[in-house]
Amino acid sequence: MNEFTLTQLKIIVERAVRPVRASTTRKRKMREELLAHVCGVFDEELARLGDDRAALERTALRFGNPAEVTSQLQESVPASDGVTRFWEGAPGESVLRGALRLAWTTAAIVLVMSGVALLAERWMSASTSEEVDIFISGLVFLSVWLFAIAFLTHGAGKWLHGPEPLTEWPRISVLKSFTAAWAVLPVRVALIAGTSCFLTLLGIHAATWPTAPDSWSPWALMAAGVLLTGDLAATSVLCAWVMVQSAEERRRYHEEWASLPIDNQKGAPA
Amino acid sequence: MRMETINGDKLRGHLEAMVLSTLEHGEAHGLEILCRLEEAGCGLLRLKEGSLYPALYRLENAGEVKAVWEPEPHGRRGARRRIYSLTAKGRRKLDAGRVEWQQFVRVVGGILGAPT
Repeated sequence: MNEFTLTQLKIIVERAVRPVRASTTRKRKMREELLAHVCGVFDEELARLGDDRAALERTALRFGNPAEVTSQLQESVPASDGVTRFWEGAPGESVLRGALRLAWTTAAIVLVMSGVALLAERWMSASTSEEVDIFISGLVFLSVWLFAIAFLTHGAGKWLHGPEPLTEWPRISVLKSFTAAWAVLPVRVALIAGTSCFLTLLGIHAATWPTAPDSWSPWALMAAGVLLTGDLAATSVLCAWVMVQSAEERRRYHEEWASLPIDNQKGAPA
Repeated sequence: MRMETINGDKLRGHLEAMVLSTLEHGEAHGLEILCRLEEAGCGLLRLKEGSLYPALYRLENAGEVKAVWEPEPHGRRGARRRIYSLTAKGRRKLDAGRVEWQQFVRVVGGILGAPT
């Protein structure tokens, strides 16, 4: 099968899938399965007819009216897909926008949870005010940290952004992102440094056991602060890399399919 | 007498039960399911193939079939097929579909005066 034929088969699939309102993950599943199907049908028809053009026409005819398939595909999308759509963002969304959207969402959740915690403290006296303060500080820190990761992700995204074409069907997975992250020297250095910081911090904690951190000497506290910051910085680099890697892969995938000219209905079955 | 083909409109409402029925003979990917349907329909079924997958997705969402990606794409330029199999819920749905169909045939056959 040559490149022209494969593109024509992709167009048959894309005419049906592109108008469907669904998450990228779901549409990727549809595209891959339908493309495998039309490739199989094309091979069958080519063996029978012996002509590429005729086989393509028969494949499109057997596939059916794209508009009908679109509406049937749309009906098969469950309501829960909306959550995935929100999590993924719009196709082609910039890395910074996506990362900031996640950070804003976390900040909103933090705000609600802090409110609930304050109410619980006031009306139920279930926790001491110190415990509530620590809880709220932790939540606020989490959202601030996510904003920091968002900007770090943006930087990494600009560095990664390039015209590199997809050479195979993209498989986006957390494991693949981590493997790709490990292959990059700055991320590997950050990970090793972060792990060392974390292990040293555990060592300090073990050496001063059973003394609680609030009774540590100023030197130990300072060292712990530096180590904790190092550990968080390394984790941020890793998180940003993993996020940008999958976002870039999604962007390239979207661009490849979005560039297919599906408006030309010539040859499409009525 | 020349038999007319049965197309998408006449199949509406029965496609899902027919798909479940083909999976009773063992797991299969989309193209294989179509082949089984055509064989069972003696060449008189004319299904628009793109319509099969939305039906499979609906069955999957309802937990009546389960699907796994095939491990290797086998030369389809990286695109893999999914292998569908019947679940216990799907088997129950198929049994219920058969009872419903027999009742439908009995009632409509009685009205039309056709042999049942």
